[in-house]
Amino acid sequence: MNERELLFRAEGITKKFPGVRALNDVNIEIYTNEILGLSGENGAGKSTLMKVIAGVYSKDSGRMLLNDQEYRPENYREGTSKGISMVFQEQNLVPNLYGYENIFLSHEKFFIKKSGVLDTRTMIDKTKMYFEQFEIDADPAKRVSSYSFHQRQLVEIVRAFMISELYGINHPLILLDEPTAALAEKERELLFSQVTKFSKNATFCLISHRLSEMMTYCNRIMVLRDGELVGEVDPKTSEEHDLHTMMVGREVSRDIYGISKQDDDFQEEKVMEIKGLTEEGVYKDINIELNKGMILGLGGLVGCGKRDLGKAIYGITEYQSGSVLVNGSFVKKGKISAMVKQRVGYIPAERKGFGIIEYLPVSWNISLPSIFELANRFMLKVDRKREKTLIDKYIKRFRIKASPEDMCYSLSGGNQQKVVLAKWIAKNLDIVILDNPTRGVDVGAKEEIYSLLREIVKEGVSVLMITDDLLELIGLSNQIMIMKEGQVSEIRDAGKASKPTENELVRYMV
Amino acid sequence: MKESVKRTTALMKYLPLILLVVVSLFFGILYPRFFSIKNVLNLIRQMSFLMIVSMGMTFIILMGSIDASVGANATFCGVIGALLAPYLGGGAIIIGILAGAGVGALNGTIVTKVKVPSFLVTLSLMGALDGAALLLMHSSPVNISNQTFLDFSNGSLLFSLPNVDLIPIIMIAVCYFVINKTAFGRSLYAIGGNEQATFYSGIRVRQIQIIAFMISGIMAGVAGCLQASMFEAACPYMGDALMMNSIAAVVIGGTQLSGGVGGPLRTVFGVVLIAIIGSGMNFMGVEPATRHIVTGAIMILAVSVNIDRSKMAYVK
Repeated sequence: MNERELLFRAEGITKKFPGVRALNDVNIEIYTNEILGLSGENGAGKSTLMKVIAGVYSKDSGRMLLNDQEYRPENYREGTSKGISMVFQEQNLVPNLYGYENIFLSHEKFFIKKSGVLDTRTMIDKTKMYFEQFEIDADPAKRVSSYSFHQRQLVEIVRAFMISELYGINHPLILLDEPTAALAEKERELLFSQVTKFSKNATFCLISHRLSEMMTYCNRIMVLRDGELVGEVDPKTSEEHDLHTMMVGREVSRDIYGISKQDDDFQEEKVMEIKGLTEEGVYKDINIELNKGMILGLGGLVGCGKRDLGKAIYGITEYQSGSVLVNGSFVKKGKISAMVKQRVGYIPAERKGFGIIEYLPVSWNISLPSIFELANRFMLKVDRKREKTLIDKYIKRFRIKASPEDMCYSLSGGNQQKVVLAKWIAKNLDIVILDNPTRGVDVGAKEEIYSLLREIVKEGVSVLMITDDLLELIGLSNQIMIMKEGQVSEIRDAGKASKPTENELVRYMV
Repeated sequence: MKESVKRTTALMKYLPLILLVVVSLFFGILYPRFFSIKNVLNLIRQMSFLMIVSMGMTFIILMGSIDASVGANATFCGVIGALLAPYLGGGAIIIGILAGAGVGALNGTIVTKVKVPSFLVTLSLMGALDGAALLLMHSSPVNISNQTFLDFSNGSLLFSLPNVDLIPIIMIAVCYFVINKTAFGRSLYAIGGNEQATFYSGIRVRQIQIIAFMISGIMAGVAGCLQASMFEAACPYMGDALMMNSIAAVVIGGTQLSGGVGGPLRTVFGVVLIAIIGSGMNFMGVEPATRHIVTGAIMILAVSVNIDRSKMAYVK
């Protein structure tokens, strides 16, 4: 790498939101051609810092310099035109617009022909060229909603490059906020090989909850805690564990999956049996047996059908053939309420869309699945005392850092996820189906969620865990099933002493 | 929570109440007769139908839906009651209310099974019901002479309080209980907050939606029969004004149009506020046409103030 040249500097950045100081006197320097990692727990201020840099938020005080010049973006568009783009955590593409339209959205002025209409031909060709360069196998002239999730993610990164090129900036700063949260192993590697390659002509700033990823690909990692910069980690001389400790601010356990607490002597009793479940073109002839008190992990590449399978079992979607038995009795397909009646719960991957109710208090979120059980039969009057006892018990037990009256949206991702978990466990369930239970959750909260899962299986709850996170799959499960193109390609024991390695499992995925 | 947020929240929470006091003082000072016993009684009388319908509307708006058919439904039920009164007497009232429930069930079923937005469904039904009511009454008022039917509004079941005043009070109490105290009521808030997440939690969302629309229909039925009884006739379009006004009352009270935030007591304030403004304008000699404009303006104002409330804090 050539010598370090200062690209961007921020001094004394402070940003307040109603009730919180999200950033407090943060100083940061970013050098050309580097991949800088930003690390910290949820709510530490990483995303806020990025958004201030990108011009999405305005800072309350402090100043920023870009190429030694005062940089004061009024809005995000001004940021991009100066060469700073951001790939947002929550995807920022308009699904019903075409690929190329999304790429050039709000920068169409470069493509206006003399007649006043847009030169779509050039726009498409340019997009196509970049798509090929980035190995995105998508048609720029198709709607973005037809792209897969990871393709959309890549499109956002490509957009950052293309826009800065339009403005004649040969060295853009690209901010990536959790670009890999929903990507599978292979796509993650592809993405990072691209990022590394393009860091010859650009600088990246990366937020990721996968610390190993940060340690592998970043040149430097800055750590934020409670809105303040607490230190810097050099991946070459430090370990993941050091980074982890610095983020949380206390010594963390090396066994975050609680493997030492894993109990492989789960009971023989079968609580759920899935026989020959088939949905043409999605999954085929799936057989699963879930024993009482076990964690069955279901892995596979994104798009292998495992998540669709989970939804079908819970009754969100229907299946063409096969059957689901819970505690020995058949459950009608496509009927969530019947599943819940059999004491089966489901934790969706999209927490905000399907898990929590953002604008209701934590208390009501927790008691929701049990609310009809907390009411008397005749008038449906809710027994407030019992409800309160239940809510308080689970807020305490799940260490949810919020008061019962707090609205759910104000909680961090980790605490929100604990609310979703709590609402099911409070119902005294037998089985819970988890779909990526720690997506977008920080390490500290992850560890807590894992230990809660260990606790509940000890109490006899059975868990079917669908996850894209290989380490989680290996670390937590008693038994692992791998799916490939809709079919089970491997079933493997993952007892305490016989955990498979990542490579052993990946073989069956691809 | 930070102080300023708390303060804003408190302001939002008590805004309808503050408005009520301000408006009352304004008219009270301007027209000393405004708070004469006669006018207050008159005011209560005028609120009666709106109060009942607005209580039903609260169920619907809490879920984030809308019921545009309530006004036409009231007319429709009033006509049915009036037509059957000579034969069934008091029974006609029950049939009238059941007709309202039926309309509500139809609304709810189309919304949940065919998955058409409630606004479109109920708006279409509004047209259909207005037409049906006109056909039934051959476009002219149907007079009622059956004493039992007339007693529905003028009689007195309790403490010589006329039924027309008593019924809304009973309805407020019932709706308050159902919305604030029961699992059903809680589900309404959950559906309004996030229908998908509620569905994923195992709550029978569709069933609850249908029941809520039935409740709204029943309320429209009660209001329609009460109106017919009070006027001693069922008249064309007699319930029409109830639709806009009930939506306005719920929203002005502070229940979120997008659902999940609000409650029946807020609606009571909304209704009283609308009634006082209406009566005040009457005192001022404002023409009916102008009054419609003012009501429209107030509603837009209410919605614009109301819009971001859910983001502030939980307001019930």
